[in-house]
Amino acid sequence: MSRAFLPAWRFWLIVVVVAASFGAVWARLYYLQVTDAPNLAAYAADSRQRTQRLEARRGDITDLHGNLLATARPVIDLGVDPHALTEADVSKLPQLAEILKQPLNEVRSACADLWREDSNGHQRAVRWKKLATLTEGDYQRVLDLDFKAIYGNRRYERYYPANELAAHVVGYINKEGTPVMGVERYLDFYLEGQAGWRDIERDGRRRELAMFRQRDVMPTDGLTVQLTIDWVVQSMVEREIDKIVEKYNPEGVSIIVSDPRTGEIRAMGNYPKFDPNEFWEYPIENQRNRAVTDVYEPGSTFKIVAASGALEEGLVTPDTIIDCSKPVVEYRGRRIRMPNDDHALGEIPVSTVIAKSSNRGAATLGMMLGDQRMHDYAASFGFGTETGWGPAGEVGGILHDVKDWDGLTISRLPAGYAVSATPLQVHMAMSTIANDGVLMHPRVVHEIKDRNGNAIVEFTPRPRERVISDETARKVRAMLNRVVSTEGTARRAMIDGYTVAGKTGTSRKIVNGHYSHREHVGSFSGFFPVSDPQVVITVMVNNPRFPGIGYGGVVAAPAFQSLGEQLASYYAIPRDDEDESKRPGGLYVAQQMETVR
Amino acid sequence: MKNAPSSTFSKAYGSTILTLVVAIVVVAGIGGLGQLWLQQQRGEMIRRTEEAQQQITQVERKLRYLDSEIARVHRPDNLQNRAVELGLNLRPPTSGQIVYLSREPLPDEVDNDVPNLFAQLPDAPAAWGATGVASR
Repeated sequence: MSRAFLPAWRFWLIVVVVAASFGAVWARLYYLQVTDAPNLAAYAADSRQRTQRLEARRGDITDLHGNLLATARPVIDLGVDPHALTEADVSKLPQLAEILKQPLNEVRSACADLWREDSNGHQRAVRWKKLATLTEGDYQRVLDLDFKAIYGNRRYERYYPANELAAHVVGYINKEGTPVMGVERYLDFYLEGQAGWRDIERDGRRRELAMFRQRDVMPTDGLTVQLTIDWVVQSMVEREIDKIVEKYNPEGVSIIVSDPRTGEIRAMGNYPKFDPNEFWEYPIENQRNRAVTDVYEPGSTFKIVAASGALEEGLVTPDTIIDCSKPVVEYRGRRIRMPNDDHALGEIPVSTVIAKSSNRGAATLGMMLGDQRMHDYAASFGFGTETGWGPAGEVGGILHDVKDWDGLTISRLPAGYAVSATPLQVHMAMSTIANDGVLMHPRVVHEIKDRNGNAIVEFTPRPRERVISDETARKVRAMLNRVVSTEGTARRAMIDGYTVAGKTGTSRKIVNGHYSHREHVGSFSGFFPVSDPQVVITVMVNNPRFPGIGYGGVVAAPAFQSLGEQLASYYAIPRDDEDESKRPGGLYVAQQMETVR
Repeated sequence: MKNAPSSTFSKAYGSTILTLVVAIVVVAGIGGLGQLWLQQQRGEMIRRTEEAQQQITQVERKLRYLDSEIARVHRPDNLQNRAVELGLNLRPPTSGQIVYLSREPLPDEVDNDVPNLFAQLPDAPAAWGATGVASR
C-alpha cells in the first residue's frame, strides 16, 4: 500500500487504533500476569485443589469368642434431584416406593419438591432431597431400577447386631458420633482410629485428577475391643430377666455372671433395657447400667462380711453357739436393741446363723468384731469404693466411717442395713469367698486387637486384696452351702448334681424417708460347685410387684437355679455327685477345662 | 585457489551441524513423544489403580455389611427361635454326653496360672497381729 493513496491522518489513525488495541491487550495481560497474578493463581488453585479428609472406620466390639456386638456398617442415604427427574424415572416410582416401604404419595411429593426457602427467605433450587436410609441389599435393588435422578451417598453407621444384648455394657454412639456410655466411651481412644487426608486436584466437573494427587495419608482404622462377655451367657441372662419381669413386674433387675478366679464378667444384664440401634426411642433411665450405678441396701447377702471377719479373727468357729433370743444386749456400756428375726431361733451355731439368715446372729458377730474391724472388713470386701470395672458411671456406694455411726449401726450393718452397695459390689464380695479369700478387680475387657487379630493391649486378671485366708474362705463356703439346701433360705437355688453356695438378701426400701413394708429388694448371690467354684451369679430384683414380701429366696433364687443349670451344661462343669474315678484325670481335668475355655 | 580449503571446511562443518541439528530434532521429538507416552501410561495406571481402590472399598463395604448381617442372624436368641420354628427339639447336652479328656498343661499355662498371682498379695488380716485390721 502506498501512502500516495491514503491521507496521512487516516494512516496515523489506523496506526494509533491498532497500537492502542495492542496496548490494551498488553496492559490487560500485564495486569493478569503480573499485578493480579498471585490472587488469580490462588483462586485457580483454590478451585482445583482440595484437602480431602479420609475418615477412619471405628473399631469393632466383640464378645469373648469374636461375635460382633458393635460394628461400623455401610448404609446409603438415598435421595432425589427433583430437577433432573425424567419421565422414565417417574414411571418407576411405584417400584421405588415398594423397596423403600413408603407410601407412593410420599415418594411422589418428595420428588415434586423443586424449591426451598433459605434462611434469608430466598427461593433456592432443591439439588438433593433425602428419601430414606438403605442397606446395601436394598440399594442394589434401587440401582437395578436404573434411575437418572435418584442416587445414594454411602456412609458408615454404628450398628449393634445384638440389639439389646449387653447394651448397658457396650454403650452406644449418638447421632453426632459421640460415644455416650459403656465400653464405646471407655475405650473410645482405641476404637475411634485416626483419620487420614489427601491433597487432590479436580477438573471442571469436580472429578478428581488422580495423577495430580500430591500427598496421601491413609487413615488408620480403630482397633477391635474384645470383651470378656460371652453372648451365649448374656443371652441366657437376658432371658432370665425377661422371665422375672413377666412374673413380678419389678422396678428393675440386674444379673451378673463372672468367673471368680479371674474376675472376668461373662454377662451383665439389666432391666429396663434399651436397643442401642434406636436409643432415642427409650427413656433415658433405661440406659442406666443399674448393676454399677444403682445402690441398694444389700440386706442379708452382706452377712458374709460379719461371718468372714469373725472367723478370720478367730473369734468364732462355724460351731460356736450364738444366742439369737435376746431382743436387747449390752455393747460397750450401752443397751442396744437387736434387729428382729422372722422366726425365733434361740441359741444356734454360727453356721446356722448364716443358713437361717439370722439378723440377730449377724449383729452379734458384728459386735464381737467391734466397730472398727466390722467397718474395715466391709471396706476390704470392696464396699464403699468403686470396683474399678472400667466404663464410667460406676458409684462406690456408701459405707460410713465409724465416727459417723449412730448407736444402732453396729447392730444393723452386719445384717446389711446402714450400708448401700451396687449389685456388682455384692457380686465381687461373694466372688471373694469363691476365690479363696482374694478380692479381684472385675474385668469386662479381654484384650484390644489390631485388624490382623494381633493383641495390642492385654488385660490380665488383677487381684485387689486378700481379704481373708483361704482356710476361712473354705469355712464360709461350707456355711453358704447350707444356705442352698433344704434347711436354708435358698432351697430354690439348688442345682441338681452340684453343690451350691450362696446367700439370699431381702431388704426393705426406703420410701419417703421410712423403711417401706411393701417395697423390697430381693437378691441372691452365689456360686458353684463349692469345691472348685467356676461361676458366680448375682441376681437383684428391685421392688417385685406381687402379693407378699419379695424375698430373695423367692424372686431371685429361681433365676440363679435356672442360669446355673444352663451354665453347668454350657461350660461342661463336672457334676459333684459323679464318681470322680469315672472321669479321666478327675478334678485335674476340670481345672484344665478352665484353661481350655 | 585460496578459498578451496575454506570452502571444504565450511562444507564439512555445515554437514556436521546439519546432522547435529537433525539429531537434536529427532532426539527431542522422540523424547517429547516418549514423555507424552509415559504420561499417558502413568495416567492410565493411575486410573486403573483408582478403579481397583474403589473396587476394594466397595468389597470391604460389602464385607462389613455381610459381617454385621451374619452377627445379627446368628445371635443366640435368633438361633433358638429358628430352632423352635424348625421344630428341631434341640436340648443342652446332659452330663452323660460330655467326655472329659486329660492332657498335660502346656508350659505357658503353668507359668500363667492365675492363682500364682495371689502369692504376690499380703497375708490375711489375722496374720497381722492382735490389732486386727484397723491399721489398714
